[in-house]
This record gives sequence, C-alpha cells and structure tokens, in this order.
Amino acid sequence: MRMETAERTSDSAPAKASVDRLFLLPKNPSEMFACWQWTAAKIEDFGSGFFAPEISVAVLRHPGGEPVGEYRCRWDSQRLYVSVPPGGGAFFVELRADTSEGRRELLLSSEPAATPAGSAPCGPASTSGEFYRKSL
Amino acid sequence: MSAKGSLVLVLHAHLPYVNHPSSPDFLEENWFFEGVVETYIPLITMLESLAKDGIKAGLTLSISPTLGAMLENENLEKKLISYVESRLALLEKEAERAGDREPLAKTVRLYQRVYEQAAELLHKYSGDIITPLKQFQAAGHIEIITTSATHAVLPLLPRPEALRAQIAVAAEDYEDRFNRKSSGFWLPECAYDRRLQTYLKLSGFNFVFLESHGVQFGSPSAPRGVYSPYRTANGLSLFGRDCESSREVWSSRYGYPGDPVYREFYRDLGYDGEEGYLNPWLGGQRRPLGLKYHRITGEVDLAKKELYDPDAALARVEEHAADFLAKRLAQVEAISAANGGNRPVITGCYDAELFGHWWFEGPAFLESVIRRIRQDRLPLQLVTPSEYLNSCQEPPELEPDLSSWGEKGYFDPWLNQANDSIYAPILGATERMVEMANRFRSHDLTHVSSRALNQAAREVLLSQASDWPFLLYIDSHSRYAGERVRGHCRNAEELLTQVLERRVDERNLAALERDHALFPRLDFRIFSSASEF
Repeated sequence: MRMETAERTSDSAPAKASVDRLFLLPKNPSEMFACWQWTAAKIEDFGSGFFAPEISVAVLRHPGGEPVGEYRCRWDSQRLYVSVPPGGGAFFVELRADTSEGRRELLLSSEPAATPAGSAPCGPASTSGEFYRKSL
Repeated sequence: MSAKGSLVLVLHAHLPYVNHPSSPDFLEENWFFEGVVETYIPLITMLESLAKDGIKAGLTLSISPTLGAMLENENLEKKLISYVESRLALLEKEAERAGDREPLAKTVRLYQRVYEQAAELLHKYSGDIITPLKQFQAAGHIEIITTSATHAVLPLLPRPEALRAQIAVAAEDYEDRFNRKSSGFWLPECAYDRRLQTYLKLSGFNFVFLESHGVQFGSPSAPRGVYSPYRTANGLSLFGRDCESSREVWSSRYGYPGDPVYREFYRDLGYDGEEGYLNPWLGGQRRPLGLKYHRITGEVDLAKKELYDPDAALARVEEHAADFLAKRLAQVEAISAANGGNRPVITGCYDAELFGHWWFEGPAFLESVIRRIRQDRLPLQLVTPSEYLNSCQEPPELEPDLSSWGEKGYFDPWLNQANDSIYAPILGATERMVEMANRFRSHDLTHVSSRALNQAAREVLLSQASDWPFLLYIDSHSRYAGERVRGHCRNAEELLTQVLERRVDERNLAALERDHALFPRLDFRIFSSASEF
C-alpha cells in the first residue's frame, strides 16, 4: 500500500452542494480521477476546525474492499488523480478525515470504477482533435 | 467479380447544441452553419449525384440528437439561410476583386458554386435537410444511426441511471425524427465500458463501433482482430475500427488531407482581408469566414502559403481515391490469406465534419471511392452494418475492454487538468436529478412542476456533452464551454430546488424551454432508479 501526498492545492472555493458527494472516474490504464463536493454543513465543519484540513483518500479494490493505496490532500482541493494499482481491475475510493479529538471518520465512499485491462499503443488521435491541434 | 471482403464506412456527424435565439449573430452558431454548408450539404449533393447514376452509396451516417435538433430548429434554419445569402453577397464582391487573376478567380467561382448549391438545396427542402437523408435511407442508399442524447463520453458517467437516460433518450429522439428505430448506436468518442451493453440492448440497439484496442484487449481473445464482427453475451454486435484505413484519411500530417495541393484550413479571408472591406461580415471581430484561397503548400508559415488551384486538387483526389482502394484490396488479400480464406470486413470510422469542413476535398474523395468500387466492379463490397450482419454467420462472443478513440486511447482528452473542475458539478447535478426523479416519479405533479423537472433533465443531459471538456482541453472557445457547463448545472439545480419549494419561475422556465428546445418528449422519470422505460 502506498501513501502519497497530493501536490495540488485548491484553485477555487468549494461550491456548496445539497449532499456530500464523491465520484471516481477511469482516466487511462495508469490513472483514475476522484472528485467531491461538500455541503455547507461540512464546509463549516472543516472551517471551524472540527475536522483537520488534510483528508485521506483511500483506494480500495472492488469487490472485497482490500486497501491498495492512500493519498493525503486538503479537504477543499476538490479533486485528485490516483494511480491504478498494479494488475488493474475495479476500485472505489473512500474519503476520511480526522476530528479534532483525533478520531478518524469515514465521510464518503464512491461507486466503483473499472480500469482498462490492456494498454493501447499511443498513436495519434482519431478525432477532429488531430486537426485542432495542428493549429496550436 | 465476387467480393473478397467488405468495407463499412461510417461517418459520424455531431455538433454540440448551440442555439441562441435572442442573439442575431452568435459566434458559436457558426459551427452549425459551417457544418451544414461545408459538410452535410456536400454529402447530400454527393448522394444525389450517385443516385442519379444508379449508384447506392452504402454509407453509414450517424447523426447526433443534438445536431438533429439543430437541423430542425426554425431559428437556426432562418439564420442559416441568412448566412448563405451573406456569403453569396461577399463572393460577388470577391469575384469582382479577383477579376481574371487565376487561380484565385477559379477558387472564388468554386466557392460560389458551393454556396449556390447550399442555397438551392435549402430552398428545395424548405430548409429541412433531414428530409433528403430520410429519403436516401428509405431507398436503401445509406443507413442512419444515432448516438447518445448529448454526446456524453459514457464511461465517464458513474450513475447507471445517467447511462440509461443518455441511451434511451437518443433512441426515442431517433424514432421521432426518422419514424423508425435505429439499429446502430455510435458510442461517442468510441468510448466503451461493459456497463453499456445492457442499456443499449434495452433501448433496442443491435450494433456499435469500438476502437481497435477495445477488441484487441477483449476477452476471450479476438483471433480475427477487428476484421470480423463480434457480439456481447447479450447479443449486441460489435465492429472494431480498422486503424490502417482510418489513419490514411485521418492524419493531417501523414494522411491524404495533408497533401500540399489541398486547401489550407487555417488561412482564411476573415483574417487576411482588409478590415473595412470585410466589416459587414466580421461583425466587429476577426473570425473565419469559410473562404480560404490558399493550399497547404508544405510545412511553411501561414503567410507563405501559395494560392489554391481547384483543378490540381481534384486531380489529386482521384489519385488518392485509387490509392485508398488499392491499399484496401491489398489489405483484404493479406488478411484473408492469414485467416484461412475468411472474407474480412474493414470498418473505417470518421467524423463526418472531416469531409468538407476540415478536408475541403473530402466529399469528392468519398464520391470517387464509392464510384470506383461500383463502376470498376472491384472485389470489395461496400455495405452498411445491418446489411453485413444480415448476411454473415453468428459473430463470435467477445467482452471488449474499456477504450476510446481519443488521444492515447482512453479518456485523457476529456479528463485532464484543463477540464477536470467540471466533473464534480456535472456529476453532482446528475445525482440530484436521479434523487429527484426517484422522489417525484409516482407523484401527481402539476403541469408546471412536470415541465420544470423535464427541463432539469434536459439541462443535466446538456451538461454531460463531450464537447465542453474537449473545448476546454484544446483551449478553443473555452470560456463559452465553461459557461455552458456552469449554466446547465445551475439551471438544473435551480429548477429542482424550485420544484421542491413549489415556486417554479415560469418565465425563466419558458425561456429555457425556448433556448434548449430539444427532446420534446423527454420525461424526467427516465433518470429514476427503477425506471419503467
């Protein structure tokens, strides 16, 4: 299991949502993308120091829930790229925070996301992007 | 001569939904006008020309629901006619300016023919170019298929309800537009994940197209590669995209469109011409006008491009069409020999807008390829997927791998640091839509609440379009793309809140229904978790 610290910091204030939400998306054979939204109540919890500002994003294998990676980032960074563990498969992420009393709480859990089994040859794109990029 | 193999050519026509009826001249609406004049009308003209000579094209055309809705939108039809008339007026001045200076005068005359043809066709079909396409489909010349409701990259939607909505709304939209069911479904960006097959079959689709490594890394292994169709366990047929035939056409650098005699896309009169002279057409800001007088020339600065010569370009089109077919025949021979004589199917998939818009000579190339196959009785069968599946044996079973046809083969163009901030709001609005659909699906709602929920569903679907992250990625119209995502998410959230609080702003709702006027039969319940759809 790896422990990594995300470099990314928040680039905008978190928008308030009606419900706390966490999502996990496939990106490519080596990366997945996690993003989340907080309610006003949870923003207040972080703002008041009830929760520590650094949160943990745990990567777990689906099914079974075997932990395969953990990252740390700020609660308001809102998104994070995580590595696909060796061998690929399906995964979900959990978002946890430490309370001021030192207790770790599970705040959110995502739906599972599958990753590719293979790795495509890195050829040129086959979309109009090929032409767009010519001008860049 | 009996066919040694089959060729399936798929053109995927799509534009994001851009409709701003309250603005007389909205820059991004030009995407639609350019698409119609430079690609869709030339393709219809090509089909007419082939039909006149008794040739059935045998092409597959995917028309996205958003493009279909724009093609039927009266506001856009009116603006399109004005756009064509305004270009014809400019070309009259350009003809005077060119005088007898060749080859410039020849190019101006060529553009005049293009825009006159567009005007005639729009007049002939009263602005509705879906009609001739329907006729060509009914006569068996083409097969028209659909794609997801707003061209969402489906593997990037975690909620199964959102997948079902994107697919089921597209099926219904197609049926309303073409008075029949679509057999095929174009996976936006050829993006596949295994959750899709259930919803595709439930909505009545029979086949899709996959990127080659989706087949290559499928399970069990695909012994005939992409040169045979496959089927999923639930009976969805799969065609794998052939990289070889695609690359020759797609690549701007190594493919045919990059030939030095072909028209240069990026040098445009809108940037070259004198501002005072062009002012009536520029609307106060430099922009492309679609009139491009130079050829690619080579790897030189735009300022050093030489003048375009239509005759030289057309001669090269014939060479390229012959070369394309010679390579396909050689490919068929080689694959057949390697597969114990089995006749392969080669599937070439392209964005329709490549032909005409990006690659000006593309429609002429396509016409030449089709004519040569039919008239020269080449041992290649140009077929639609439905024709092919009706005549082939039961395809072997395959579970394809997660894949797309984008750069690096997966989802990097639609999910990267330039656009990743849009996902939480889009997916959050989608989840809220699902929750509200579950909450209200059995309620006896007032008319206005139903309308508000249906419009919220429309806004959520529009927020999910692949175009917004792609534009942010390539940093083209990125401000507009960002505003569209934020606007649709905000509209959805506000409408849902208004329904909950029983205070729907009817005036605002009516404005949204007017501006985002697509999917007239959309029922918000399609987003519910136990949908009856």
